Amino acid sequence: MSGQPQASGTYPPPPLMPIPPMVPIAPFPGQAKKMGAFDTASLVLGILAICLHWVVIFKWGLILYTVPLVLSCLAVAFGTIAAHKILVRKKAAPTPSDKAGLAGFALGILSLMFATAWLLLAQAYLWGWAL
Amino acid sequence: MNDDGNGIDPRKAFFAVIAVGAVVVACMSGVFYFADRAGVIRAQVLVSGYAQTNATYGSLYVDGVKFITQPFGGGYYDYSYYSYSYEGRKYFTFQNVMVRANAAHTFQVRTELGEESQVIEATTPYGVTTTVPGLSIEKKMVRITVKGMNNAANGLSLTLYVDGQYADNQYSSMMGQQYTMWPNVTDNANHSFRIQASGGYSYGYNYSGDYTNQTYAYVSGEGTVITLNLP
Repeated sequence: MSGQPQASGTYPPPPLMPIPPMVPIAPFPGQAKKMGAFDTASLVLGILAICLHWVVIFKWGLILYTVPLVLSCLAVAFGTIAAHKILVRKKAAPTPSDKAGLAGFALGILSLMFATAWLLLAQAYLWGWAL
Repeated sequence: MNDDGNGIDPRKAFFAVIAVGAVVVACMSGVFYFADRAGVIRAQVLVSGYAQTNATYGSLYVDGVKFITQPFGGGYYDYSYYSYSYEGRKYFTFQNVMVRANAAHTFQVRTELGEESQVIEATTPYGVTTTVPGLSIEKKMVRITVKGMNNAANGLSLTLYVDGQYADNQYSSMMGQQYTMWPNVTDNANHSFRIQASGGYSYGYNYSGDYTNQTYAYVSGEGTVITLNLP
């Protein structure tokens, strides 16, 4: 076998760095997950809640408070489901769908926070609630 | 950076949005707090009543502080008040009185002559006009005695007028008889008294005639006695 070239190492050659079995890899363009039902619902409900949260400043704000309350709670619930991967698994690569869910989640929390604050302020300082 | 190396980290953006929202809420709370402390949040009050007074001006006092002065009883009307006189009462209305909302206030009306109404306390909720009615200045009424001798005729119908207004009437059947009436008049004031008699007969003859007598007197207390003889 003289004259045959000798292999200098193992074949196939080892990779430059070990590849773990599960690696979060951003999807290729065009292959990202399309918008899901929860993401869309959370975003739409969050936008509706933030648009309507100001109704609580009226005199009957406590009754009207149910509107932003329901909308924002639903937005938060759907957003939690949709953006769970981002919020919990830190290394997960967010898709646009996840981001939309997270945006709906944020809008839900924001409108809930605003509606509650405006309700308390308006009722305490304008409509005479003794808090 | 995002996990895929592009844009802002969604988690950071999320927490930034929530933090900004909390700051907005805190700022708005501060705005409401200081607006309330500064008395910027106000409520409208409408004060009304009447005054039995000779004063031509009256002032509304809110929490003991002079608030508005306006004419009394002159038939005035504009955006802020109206006032008219009826049967000796000068009706007034203080409109567009803006006071601190959601607080208890005292309201009183005083005339330029120093007469004071009672003090009424009212809470003034925001967004509605609080009505404070019945702030009245009433002069004290006293029951005085008006008496005199009927020296005119038998069977006279006597009518008493105080300040030109009908006060009382009585039938005097016989000449030489004393009549007595007890009208109610305002205390500590000048009044005119007029006794007027009509009809009657004398010494068996039908006799028809009109008799009158008039005087001015200062009334001071229940014990005041006015004497008006006929004729």
